[in-house]
Amino acid sequence: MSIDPTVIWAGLSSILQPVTLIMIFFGVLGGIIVGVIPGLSATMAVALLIPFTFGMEPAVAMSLLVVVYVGGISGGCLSAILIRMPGTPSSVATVLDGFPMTQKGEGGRAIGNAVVASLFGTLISGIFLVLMAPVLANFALEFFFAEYFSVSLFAMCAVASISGSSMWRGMVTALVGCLAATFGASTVDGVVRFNLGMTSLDAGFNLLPALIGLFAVSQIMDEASKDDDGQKAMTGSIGRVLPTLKNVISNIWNYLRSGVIGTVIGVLPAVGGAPAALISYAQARNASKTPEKFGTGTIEGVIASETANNATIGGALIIALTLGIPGDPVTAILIGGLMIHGLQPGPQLFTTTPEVVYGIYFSVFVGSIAMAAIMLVAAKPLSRVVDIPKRILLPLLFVVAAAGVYSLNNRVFDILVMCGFGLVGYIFERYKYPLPPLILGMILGPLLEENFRQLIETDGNAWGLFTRPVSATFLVMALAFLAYTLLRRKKNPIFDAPEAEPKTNAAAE
Amino acid sequence: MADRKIGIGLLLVVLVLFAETFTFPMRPHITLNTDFWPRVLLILLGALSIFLIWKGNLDGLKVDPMHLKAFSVVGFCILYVLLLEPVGFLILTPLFIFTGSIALSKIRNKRRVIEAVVTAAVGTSATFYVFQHGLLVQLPEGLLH
Repeated sequence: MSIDPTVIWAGLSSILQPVTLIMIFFGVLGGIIVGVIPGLSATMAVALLIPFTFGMEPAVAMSLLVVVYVGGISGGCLSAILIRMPGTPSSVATVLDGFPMTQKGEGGRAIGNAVVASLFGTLISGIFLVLMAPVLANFALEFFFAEYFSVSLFAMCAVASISGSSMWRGMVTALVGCLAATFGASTVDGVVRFNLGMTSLDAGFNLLPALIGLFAVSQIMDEASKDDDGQKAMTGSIGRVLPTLKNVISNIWNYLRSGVIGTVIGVLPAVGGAPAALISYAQARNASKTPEKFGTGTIEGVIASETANNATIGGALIIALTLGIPGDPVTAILIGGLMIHGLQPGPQLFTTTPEVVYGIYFSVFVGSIAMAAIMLVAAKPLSRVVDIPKRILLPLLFVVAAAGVYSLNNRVFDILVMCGFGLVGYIFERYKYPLPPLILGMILGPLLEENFRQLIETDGNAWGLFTRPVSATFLVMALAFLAYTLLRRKKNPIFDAPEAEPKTNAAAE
Repeated sequence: MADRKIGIGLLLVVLVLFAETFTFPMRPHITLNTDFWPRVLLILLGALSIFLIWKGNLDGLKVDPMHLKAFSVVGFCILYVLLLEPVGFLILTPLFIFTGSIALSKIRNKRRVIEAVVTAAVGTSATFYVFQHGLLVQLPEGLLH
């Protein structure tokens, strides 16, 4: 796969159009605002935005979704620092030192350093994305039916086994997702299945109503059922926001170490920003000359957490773009966005529509710079966003979600499907059944079926799964993942239980 | 017993859908027909459902209680969706936002009512403008047709 300068230029020019830059600016701003509000997540923001991208060029649309992702992850630090409530789960470790700094009157300093850390984290992982993604895509070009089946199975096992509090619950939701994807016409032979006598179901469940239902409607239901009327207002001055150059230089190793940790963890399916931030925080404390200050309001802790959680963005995009495996729920939605725009994530994306890939690369960099500029300049007004009451926000969010889903096919049936998935999502979340495997099942289920049936049609048997080295390796990895998770959970049943982590008000990201 | 409830619910769905797979049209000369994959999934899901019913509660974790309010919220939303085509977006949406805003408000006074009216008016017109004129989506006209 050679690098074609004209394609790079096409990707860059699609981003540098004045209209696109304006959209990126507002996309980042919108992402930050959603990220600031506890209870709303980057996942919800990206899902709600997809309908607005229908009329856009795929490169521009995907860039817009990526910058909302960047803004959403970054915005979470504001509420974590100011009101001790992480706007997104990714900022959970930021609370540990960010809020004590606010109590000491250094909230502005914490925000300024968190913003610079978010910028560094995104840029470091962006560099990894640019360097690693084409190499991995080249490797994946050799994949055949057996390899695609095994890679998809590995991703399903990895996500299902480590999402939520129990491996079995993850397995259940992954299978429910796969089953939901079998509704409607089969992708292999076009035969309609499970339409339940409704012609509206002949095409199956569209991904967008399912995504918005699971991640937005279920969250609206959850937030609406809580008794609090609004968020606690932050009072008092936050002080100087812009960090000093000395501060930045003295933490350069912290940025680099946390950036690498975040990128590597981002590559692993379903681990996500919160564990990346917590692991990076622990590493920063180990490496610090003053570990006893961690938890009392030290800037090193804020930097470690924010660099790592933003660095998961590039890591998650690496496997999402090259193998079509979502690293976290937001990248699952981004993959859904690609598919809605008629593009198939995976190695072919790099050969058929490289301008989209380059557009995504550039949007990571442009988006992170825009994010830093917006947050440094407007930290004080943005911190007031946490005051928006739910009674105003939630009905508006539902109307936007409904109108967005309606615009997909101009039919009310899709909004009902969205509500149905919202209901399922709410029940599953209440009972601690993780939602990311469900959406992954909906995305990977058809790939699993298609590749397995094609393999049997061409080879007459399934031995290729075990005799082809790459396929066999992924199958062994899938088994190893399941065995490791079972053993680890047997040793410590609450190892990954949500209760073991600091409590956040945000929905699962 | 949360897992048992989920297990029972899923098992019922699995049984209904498994019976449905026998109605799929079969294609000759195909090694694996269209019913193969759904049946594999249903058998796996059925086995997991039985496992959940047997275990009752997988790991002793305390589940979050269901809130009736959440179900009334989704019921209210479904009512809005069902009335959307006959009544129309421009008439129904302000009523939906206003009612939703008042219902979610803990205190009900004149200020809150004014706030809800403004939210309904601004929210509806902004959404209508963006979708109808910005994205060229024909939102349901209903009674205004």
